[in-house]
Amino acid sequence: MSDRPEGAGAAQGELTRAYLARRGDLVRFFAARLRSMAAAEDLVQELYVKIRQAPDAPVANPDGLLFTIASNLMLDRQRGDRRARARDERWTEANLTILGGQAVQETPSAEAALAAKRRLTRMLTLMRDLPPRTQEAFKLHKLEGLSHAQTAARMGISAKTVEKQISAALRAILERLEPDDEI
Amino acid sequence: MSRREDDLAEACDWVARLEADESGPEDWAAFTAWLDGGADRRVVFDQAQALSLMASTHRSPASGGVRRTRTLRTPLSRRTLLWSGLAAAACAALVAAPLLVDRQETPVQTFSAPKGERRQIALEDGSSLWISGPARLDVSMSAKQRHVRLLEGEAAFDVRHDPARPFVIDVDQRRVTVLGTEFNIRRDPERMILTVRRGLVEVAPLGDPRRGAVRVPAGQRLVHETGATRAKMAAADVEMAFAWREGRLVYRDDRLGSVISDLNRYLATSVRLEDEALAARPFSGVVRLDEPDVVIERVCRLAGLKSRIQNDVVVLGADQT
Repeated sequence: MSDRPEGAGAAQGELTRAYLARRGDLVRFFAARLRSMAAAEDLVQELYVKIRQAPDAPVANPDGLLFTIASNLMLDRQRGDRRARARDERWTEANLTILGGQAVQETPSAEAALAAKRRLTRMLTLMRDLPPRTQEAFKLHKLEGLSHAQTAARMGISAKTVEKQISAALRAILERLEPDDEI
Repeated sequence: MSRREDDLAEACDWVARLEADESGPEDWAAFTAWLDGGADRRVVFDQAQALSLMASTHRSPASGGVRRTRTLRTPLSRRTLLWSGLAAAACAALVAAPLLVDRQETPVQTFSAPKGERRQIALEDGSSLWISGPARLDVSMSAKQRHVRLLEGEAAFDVRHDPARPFVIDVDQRRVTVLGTEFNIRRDPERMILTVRRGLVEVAPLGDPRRGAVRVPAGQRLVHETGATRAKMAAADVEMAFAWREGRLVYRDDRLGSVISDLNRYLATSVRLEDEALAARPFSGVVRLDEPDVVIERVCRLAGLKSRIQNDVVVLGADQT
């Protein structure tokens, strides 16, 4: 896909170059927003199609422009009929494409799949060792799928505090996961 | 605190911050600046994100009966939407006794999808099935066994692990046994192809589980030609085998001919090439399964083709302009 000849328009070349350099980071960012690696991959792929059609014009901030186009694509998608079943969809997508989706890219062995399962079990065990409030925030947000705002409302704390609790939970679990296996 | 510990703490902050749903251009700029600021930051971030995504995938499913069924996309038939909503209730009433493996009466539910349509079926045990029309399968869930018979078409399975209650699929002359895994089965008149995405699947000749059982690990596929005594195993492009379920077709260094045969499989519309020589044209790209005309337009754009309708068939020819 990067086989486009050089000089096919300076701006397009610039945007494409920025895209190729930032592709991975865009996936990271939008996977967090969409809670799905697969959905993010898909979006970033669509972004590529879009920028190939972009008109020739000087670009002051190619990274910023990439982000703007990708955000608009994401909003376009979230509108319409998707909204009504968004949560349902997210559950399905998350459940099926992420666990599998990550596995897909590396086409892991059966042992890798087993390791993933072990890690999940371990994560659930470690989760029980978290301080009660941190655990509650993590459970509500992750396992029950509430947004930060919903979690905040349920727990009677601010959304910012929820964010901090989630970060603390991730960190505590990661630190304890590390000794015996690498994610 | 070491550099790495700092990075880890910050990576977790970033994951939580980006998930907070309020992130805009400033966050994107700050995020990329952070990533660029340390050699290992992407690695650490990816670990934190993998954990976070893994956690959100692990949700406790509700139980009891068929949880929900819905049609993913209905390119042509609107009526089927309603039909699918009623399917769970209607089908639950169907009882087909001959299939039963256990002595107790286990209801058999039949699910089907017409050509051009994909459906998701969620089972009470937390497993999910997807079928791609034209397809038909029977499901019976008993206390001892989860049993599916794939009668026609293509189905993908995400099976919840339950050693006490094996998940068994009969397809063609083969019996597939799983403990907890994700895989796709495509059943044509000529052959059956099973692609495993994660876990391990055992396939044995139907009625003879001891002899000739083959274990198919993740990343492999098993192809059984109809009537053959043995099946062949080979490395699989797993992403491609599963992509239809997410409404995408993925091609890597493929031929236009494969795209056309997939369009005929997944769309309700018939598609053919004006000139058979075009079938050999190389094709790479992602095609989202959408309304047929959108799909066809996209294929045309990616392959430099032009479409016209002739006797209800979409004919694709080289775009000379």
